[in-house]
Amino acid sequence: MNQQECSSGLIKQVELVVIGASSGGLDVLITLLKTLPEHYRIPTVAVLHQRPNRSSGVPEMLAKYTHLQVQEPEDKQGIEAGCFYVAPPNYHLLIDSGKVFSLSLDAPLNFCRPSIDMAMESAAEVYQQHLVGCVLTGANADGAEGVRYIKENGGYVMVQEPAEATVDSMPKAAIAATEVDEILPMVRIAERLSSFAAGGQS
Amino acid sequence: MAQDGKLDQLSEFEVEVECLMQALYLRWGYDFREYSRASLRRRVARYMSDNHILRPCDLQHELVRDKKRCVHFVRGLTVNVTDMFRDPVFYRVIREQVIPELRSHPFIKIWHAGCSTGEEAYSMSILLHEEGLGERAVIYATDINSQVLDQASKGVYHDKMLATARENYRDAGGKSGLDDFISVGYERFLIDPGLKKNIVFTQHDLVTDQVFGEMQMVICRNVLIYFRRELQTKVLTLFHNSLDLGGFLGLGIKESLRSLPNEFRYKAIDESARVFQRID
Ligand SMILES: C[S@@+](CC[C@H](N)C(=O)[O-])C[C@H]1O[C@@H](n2cnc3c(N)ncnc32)[C@H](O)[C@@H]1O
Repeated sequence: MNQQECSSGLIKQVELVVIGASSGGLDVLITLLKTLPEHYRIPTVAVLHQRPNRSSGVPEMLAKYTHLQVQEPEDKQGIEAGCFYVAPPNYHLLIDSGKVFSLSLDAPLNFCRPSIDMAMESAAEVYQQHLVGCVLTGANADGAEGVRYIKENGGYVMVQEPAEATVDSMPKAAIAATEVDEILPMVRIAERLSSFAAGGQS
Repeated sequence: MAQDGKLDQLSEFEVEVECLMQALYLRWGYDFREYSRASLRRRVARYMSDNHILRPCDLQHELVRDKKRCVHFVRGLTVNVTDMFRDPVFYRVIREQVIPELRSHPFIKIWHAGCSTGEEAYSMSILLHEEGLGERAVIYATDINSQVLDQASKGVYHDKMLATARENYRDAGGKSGLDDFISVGYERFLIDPGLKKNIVFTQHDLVTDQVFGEMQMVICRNVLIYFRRELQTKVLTLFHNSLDLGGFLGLGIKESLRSLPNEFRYKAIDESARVFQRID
């Protein structure tokens, strides 16, 4: 069992990580992937705001820095260990019961599609206390509602240290929205995630 | 996860949404029971907050009594966002690889399922006219939502959509200019009436209605994403039975036939554009 003692004192078994990032996000995601060790296999979803063009090239680029399998999920694809998922540009990415992805073309939420809030809220409903949410650098408030909802459902939330973020409004908004568990520089967030995975298991 | 039981248990809200969907089916025949829950629940929650309703069971109470309210509610459940020539690569593949094969047919029938406000059907009609097939083709454009169909048959759109429409048209390999097919007025543009002649807009529910016979092409884009896997399979079978052997199937850019029962009865004309041909 991959159980970990969290700073909140709760025993956690992390089954999914959802990360939200906007301006400056690509660089911190690279830092994250470079830092994650071989044993890290927790399925991880990155919702990155991008220009709405057809093919972003982001997964191909991130794949160079990691042992994880990087992909843009297809609709109704199952969530699997060892995968790092990047939300496709111009769709909302939702997590549905049965632990599958669902895409949606709902109008942008607060000008964002994909919306970090929507991904996090839907993930919290399915994964409850087994979910970790992270908000990284970005120039708006997307993710704040999402992490509030994750906390309400018993999940764990980490936010990138605003002073370190390329643009600090997104981390600040998340911190203002709820009692987040930890505020850390990117490398420390990566280490924390690794420790969640350290309990072993495939 | 059985021992902590938590992951499989539904919250109060979720349970009430399940009951609501069941009630709408039993009472009025609206069948949203097999729709993807994540986005469905969001839209229920949205409707409730707009209408100051606290719980889905209160909403249910009202909707089983009031058909009109229910029609209004159901309209809000579907996502109707669309564009002219959305995903230009799709239309490019149709133009370059499908049209040449369709030319051999004396008469061409195309079904756009889930056409929303009609942009997709008009885009196809423009393409067919440019390729000289306009007179030979009939487009059946259907949707569950009668309100969007009314808008579709008017063919009048807001001019804030125009820039994207022009750009998409060009990227889709448009031969002249989009402006040859529309007239631009004050804050609106309207589709040339000539393009409408061969389009039939009509209501059709993919979940509860029947096969739409012998099509040369079925296009259903960004509708299946709102369905659960089992319903996707069912609807794809409906399309299969509506398609001529050798007919073409067009899906949304993020939808696929992969690991669905019909997968091997199609060959990909262009995998990334999601254009397939029925071979069995
Ligand atoms: C996001 S729009 C897609 C519009 C267009 N095909 C496109 O890709 O731009 C989805 C459409 O599917 C329709 N729809 C949803 N459920 C349906 C059903 N059961 N039968 C027919 N149409 C349905 C909705 O009303 C909506 O207009």
